Amino acid sequence: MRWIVDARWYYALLAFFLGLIAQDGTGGSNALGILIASLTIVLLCNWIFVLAIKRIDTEHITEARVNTLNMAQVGVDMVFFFIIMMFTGGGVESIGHSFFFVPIVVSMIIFGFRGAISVAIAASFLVFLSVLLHSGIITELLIGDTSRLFSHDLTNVLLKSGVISLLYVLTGFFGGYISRLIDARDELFQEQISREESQIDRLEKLTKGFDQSAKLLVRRDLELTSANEKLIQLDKMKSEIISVVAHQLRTPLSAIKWTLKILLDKDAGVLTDQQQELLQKGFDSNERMIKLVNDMLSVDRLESGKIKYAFVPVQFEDIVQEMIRNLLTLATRKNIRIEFSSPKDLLPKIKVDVDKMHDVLQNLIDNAIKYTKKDGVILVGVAQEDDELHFWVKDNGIGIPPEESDKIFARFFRATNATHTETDGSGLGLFIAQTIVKRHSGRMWFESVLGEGSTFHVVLPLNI
Amino acid sequence: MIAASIGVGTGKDPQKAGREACAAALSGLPPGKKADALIVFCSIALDQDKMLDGVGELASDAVIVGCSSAGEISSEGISSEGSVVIMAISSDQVQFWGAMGNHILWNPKKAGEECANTLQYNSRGYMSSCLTFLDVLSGNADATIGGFMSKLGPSFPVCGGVASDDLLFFETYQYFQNKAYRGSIVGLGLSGEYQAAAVAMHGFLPIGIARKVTRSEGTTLLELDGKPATSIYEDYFGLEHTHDLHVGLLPSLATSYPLGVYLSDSEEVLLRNPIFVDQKGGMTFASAIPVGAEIRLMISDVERGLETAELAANEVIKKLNGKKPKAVIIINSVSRKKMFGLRVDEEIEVIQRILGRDVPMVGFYSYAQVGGQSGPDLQFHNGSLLIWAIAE
Repeated sequence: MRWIVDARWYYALLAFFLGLIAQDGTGGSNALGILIASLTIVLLCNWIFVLAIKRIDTEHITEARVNTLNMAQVGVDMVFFFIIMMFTGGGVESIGHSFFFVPIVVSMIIFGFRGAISVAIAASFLVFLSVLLHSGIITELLIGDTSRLFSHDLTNVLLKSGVISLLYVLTGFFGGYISRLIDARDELFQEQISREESQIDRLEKLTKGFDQSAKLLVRRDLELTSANEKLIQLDKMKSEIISVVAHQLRTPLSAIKWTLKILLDKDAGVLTDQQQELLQKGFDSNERMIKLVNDMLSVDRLESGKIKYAFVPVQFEDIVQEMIRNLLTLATRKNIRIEFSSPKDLLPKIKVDVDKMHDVLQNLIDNAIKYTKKDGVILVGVAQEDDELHFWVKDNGIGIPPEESDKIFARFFRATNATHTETDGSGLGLFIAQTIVKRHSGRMWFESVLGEGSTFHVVLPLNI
Repeated sequence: MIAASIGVGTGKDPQKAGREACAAALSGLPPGKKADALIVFCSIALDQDKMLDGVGELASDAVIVGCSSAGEISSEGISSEGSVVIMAISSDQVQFWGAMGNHILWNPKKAGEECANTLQYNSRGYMSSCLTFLDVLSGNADATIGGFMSKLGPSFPVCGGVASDDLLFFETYQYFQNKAYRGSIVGLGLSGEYQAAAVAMHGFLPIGIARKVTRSEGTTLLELDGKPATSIYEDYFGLEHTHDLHVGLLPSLATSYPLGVYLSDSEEVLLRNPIFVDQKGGMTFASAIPVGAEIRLMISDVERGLETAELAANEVIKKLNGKKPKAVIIINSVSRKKMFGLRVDEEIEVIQRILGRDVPMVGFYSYAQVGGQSGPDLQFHNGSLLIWAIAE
């Protein structure tokens, strides 16, 4: 609406000056006075409209009052343009009637279809009125003279005004139509805008929600991180204690071992059978203790990085065979058969630390022997699978309880059924084996059925 | 020929630990070969000078550089704490040059310039790449590296790491020959025939809404969205940790959650960890964060961290044109160490699987990494894994 009042400052002055230029001079100074007074009134009204619009902006004015204001604006324009038309000669010859397009277009924009048509009809009426006034018909009618009422000249003038009216109505009609289109488009835009605004609102709420969730996540993560750090510290302390204890135990255990050995070898005198038997039991227990301490020290060395790995290319199946040979006596004692399925073709050489790999194979095959019942069978195999080397040990032993399967590679862990079957064992063998396999960039896992047996797999990459 | 070997030293006696590590490193070199360069990373739990005395006893002729750490990495012990790790390199086709710039506290730019100038002078201008280790706690690291690069040229291949001190953020040490210095920058220049590659990557993703830097001065970030800079951590960490944030523990806490800096003229996100926090909520970083940059909290997890390690290691192989590295140096972030927790070794195992399990490797957990990115400018970044490898 503001643009209409802004435009009025210009088009009112323009109409005034055009009126001055195109005046017919019949009215004299009175007419000029009326014109100036009209302009002054229009400008004054416009100023009032400016104030009214400011009020509308600041206060919440009803739509009906806005419409009244708009109608007043259009009304003021039409009266002013009528005066201009009369001042510039009136009738169809005057240029004043062209100004009526201004309120028609304005009403088209602010009132829409009906408004445009109504203003077009009103403008047509004013043109007719002007024609009738200018031609003096009204004056003649007022004094009762009807002689010119059906004259050819009047018909001609009325026809011309009819054409102008028709133009007004057409402008109003098409303008109104365009206005409807614009309104429809505005409505569509408005809908789209409100849809997008609600989307934005939703997104903002979601973002806030996500941020809130992020905060919760970070806080939880923080708690877990700090718990993890405490665990690391505890783990470190545990390792240190184990390392110290193992180191401290080694010397006295060695001393016991050699003392018992001297006694058993009868270097310190003859023993009775019972003494021999008791000492032998003591010796065996001590040996087990030494093995445990050695395992503990191995873990310590593996973790502290004091062990150097020397990777050399080897024929892997040779190491496996050698290990089976070493453990055959142990297996024979329990009447266990170890079957080695060697590959048909020679495997490609693989870079491993031979001593450490010995430990892995020994731990796996030794475990299989320990937990397989008498007269059992152990299957050992090695094969190339793509660019990896796969080694496995399958036994038909006691198996691993499913609920303990995720702890089997942990330090000092022994499955419950394993502790019952075999009292010896540090629970470090598999941990050591896995550490070594990992250091070879390999993987280690197992499959097991409780009471039926287990298969341990080791996969090592060939191309490194 | 380029040969390398590593050694790890542990124990409470620093001199013995240094000597043991050095002896182990030297013993792995081909028979009759002396070490030309020793790269040393050591925990601040060990007396630094005594540890270097132990190292120097066995390798007085070699160029010795390195720095203090927040966790040591080696191809033998994988990841350890309270230890010293040493890489000995010997070569008849590569020459090594050492240099140092002092007094970062007083004049960081001059320290950088001094180090670079010495390297250039010693190598008679033949130096073709270099490694650097520096302190960021005592002065503006941007200025130090700026000075360093001003003497070498903007496109000179440089990578390195910032010395650390077990997350105490108090004092770090830089090693040059048999002495440990504070507030310094050390450099190891290489010339001759070799191929080197450096790749830095991080696997962090943004979390939460972005905030805009509204005030910063030098390397200190003062305000985000008009609020004190620390508000970003206070908001996310919650009331329970607000106290920790204000008693100087923020740098240690924040290492797990670096800030991601999104610059308007770059698609790359730079990670930043605060190294100091003041009472007014300002945070100081190793490198400046400009006004207008968008900041978001970053987070990652072990799986993503492992993927990043794999990507970075593969990229190193690509950069070396498929050649097998002869030696690898890992400059890892303390953020990643915290993130991996007990699984810290897995990251190193992934790298070893790709680069070769028999390739000697040492490294340390640092407060910031230098270089190794794809962009043309040398930049400081946090939370990243930087792998440097040399091949023949």
